[in-house]
Amino acid sequence: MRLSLEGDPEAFTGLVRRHQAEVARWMWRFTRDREDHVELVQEAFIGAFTSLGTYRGRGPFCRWLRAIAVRTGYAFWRRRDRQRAEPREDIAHLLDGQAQEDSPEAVVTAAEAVHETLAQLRPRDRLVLTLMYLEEHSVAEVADLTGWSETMVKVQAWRAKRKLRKLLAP
Amino acid sequence: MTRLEDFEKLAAVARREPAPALDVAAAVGQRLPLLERTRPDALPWVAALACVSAAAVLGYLGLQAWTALTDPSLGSALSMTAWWLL
Repeated sequence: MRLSLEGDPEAFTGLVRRHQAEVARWMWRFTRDREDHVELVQEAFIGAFTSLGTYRGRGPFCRWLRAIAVRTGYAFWRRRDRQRAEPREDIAHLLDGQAQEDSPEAVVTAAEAVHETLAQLRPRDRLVLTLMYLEEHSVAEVADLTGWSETMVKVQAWRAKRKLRKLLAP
Repeated sequence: MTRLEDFEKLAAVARREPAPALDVAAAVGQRLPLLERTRPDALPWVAALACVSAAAVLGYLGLQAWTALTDPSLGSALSMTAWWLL
């Protein structure tokens, strides 16, 4: 860790190996495209390396890395927002017939439906709902990860849920 | 059950989806030497100090020019004050 913080690339590569499975899980929330996923995971680590000077060692490294990953994913959505497809009119029907089963196929289908539904929202709304619904983060944790105030997270969550309700209305 | 509650239940299932396994260590390792690590907070402070100093010098020179054109006696007093402040 000390060598990584001093900017030693080989030491940092060791950190990458240790944390890449977790970062891969986080970044999978931001895209379902395999190529984009690989790129996002790399970007998260590159962002972490260039920001190592800001890590003060006050909390776990993993929590600091998580915040970097979330901001990397959010920036990705904001870049892609300009290319966002026209909203689907049948989005509410994505939920129809989705059984809450435990089979791996059902889990993947559920994840695709949830991802596609959230993709209809603007990046800010999508981020707060992803962190709260898919990662089960509290308001305080979302604030910590995004750098927003807790008040802003609450307001954003309320607005995002309202938009989601409207989106899902038959 | 509302549609939002349906969505929340679906999200609870979706949460369990595992991510694809990746090994990016080698790729990241290759990109690192091309990067410059940001320095700790010294650089922004140095930049801010440089900007303030430049603004002060320009302000002083502007004051000199203005007072030379308008009231030289006033200019002399103001210049002394500005120089002292600098």
